[in-house]
Amino acid sequence: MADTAVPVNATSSQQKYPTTPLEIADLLKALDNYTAALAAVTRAQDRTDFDTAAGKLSAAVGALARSGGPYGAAAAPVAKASVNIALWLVGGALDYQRLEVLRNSTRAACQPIHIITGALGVALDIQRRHLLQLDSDWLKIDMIRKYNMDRGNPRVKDEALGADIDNAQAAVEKFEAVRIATPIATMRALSDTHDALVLAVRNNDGEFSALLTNLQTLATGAQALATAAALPATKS
Amino acid sequence: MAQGIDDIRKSLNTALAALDTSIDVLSNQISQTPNGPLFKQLMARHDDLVDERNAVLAAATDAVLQLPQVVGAAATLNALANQMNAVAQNLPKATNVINVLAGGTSVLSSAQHFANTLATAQQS
Repeated sequence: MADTAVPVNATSSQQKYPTTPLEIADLLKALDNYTAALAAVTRAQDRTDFDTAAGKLSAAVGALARSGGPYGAAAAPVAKASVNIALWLVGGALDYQRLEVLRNSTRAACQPIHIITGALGVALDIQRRHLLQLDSDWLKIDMIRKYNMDRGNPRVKDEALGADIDNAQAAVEKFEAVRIATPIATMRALSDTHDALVLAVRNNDGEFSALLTNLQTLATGAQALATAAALPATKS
Repeated sequence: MAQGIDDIRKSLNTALAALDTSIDVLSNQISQTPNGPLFKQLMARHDDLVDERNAVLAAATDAVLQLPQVVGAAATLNALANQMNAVAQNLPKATNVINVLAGGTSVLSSAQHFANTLATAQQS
C-alpha cells in the first residue's frame, strides 16, 4: 500500500520543470516601471472610491505575496501595477502639462501593454497547468491510492480510513482552486484597466466607473490566484 | 502580434491533449495498483510522460517570452518609463509657474475689481 502522504513524483517533477522566472520577471518589471512612472507624473492624491477598490486589491496582493505559491512572486507586481494605474486619478489637481504627458504616454504604452499582458497571461497559465498536473498526481497516486490500499487491509482501522478520505477531500479542494484560477483573464483585466485609463485621460471627463469595474475584476482574479496558491499544496 | 501568442497557445493545447489523456489513464490505473513490479512499471511510464509534458510547457513558455514583439514591447515600455520619469522631474517647476500665474491672475482680478469700485464711487 502507499504508506506515505508525500507525493510520489511531485517533488521530482517540480525539480525537473525548467521554469523561466527571469524572463517573466523582466516583463513584470517593465509593467512596474511604467506604472511607477505614471504615478511620478501625476503626483497622485487619494480618492475615496479608488482607495476602496485599491484597498481590496492590495489585500489580494498581500495574500499572494505571503502564499509563496507559484503565483506569489509573479502576480504581486502585476496587482501593484494596477494600483499604480488607479493612482493617476487626481481629478482637478492635474495641470495641463501633466495631462499632456499622461495623454502622450498612455497612448504610446497602449500597444506594448496589450502585448505584455497577453504574453504574461499565457506564461502564467502554463504555470497553472503545471501545478494542476502535480495536484492531480497528488490526488490520484497518493491520496486515492492510499485509500484504495487501506480499504483492502483488514488491519487498518476506520479512523485511518476516515483520515484518508479527509486528505483526499483536501486534495480535491486544492485541485479545484487551481483549476478555476484564470491568469489569462487577470492579465486581460489589467489590459482593460489601462485601456480605460487611456480613454479617461484622452477625454479628461472624469469617467471612472469603467476603471473601477476593471479594478474589481482584477481584484477578484488576484484573489483567486492567491487562494489557489495558499491552500495546502503538494508537498515539496 | 496577438496572433503569434494565440498560435503558440493553440499548438500547446494540441500537444497537451493526447499527453494529458494518457497521463490521466495511467494515474487512474496506478491509484488501484498495489506496490510491486507492475506499480514500478506504471510509475516509470507515468514519469516519462510527465517529463515530456513538462518539456512541452517549458518550450511554450520560452516561445511566448522570446517573441520579437514581446521583447520589443518590454523595451518600449521601459524606454517610455524612463522618459516619463525624466519629464516628471521638471513638472513640479511647471506647476509652480502655473500657481504663480494663477495667483497673479487673482491679484489682477482684485485690482480690476478695486478700480471698478472706485470708478463707480466717483460717479455717484
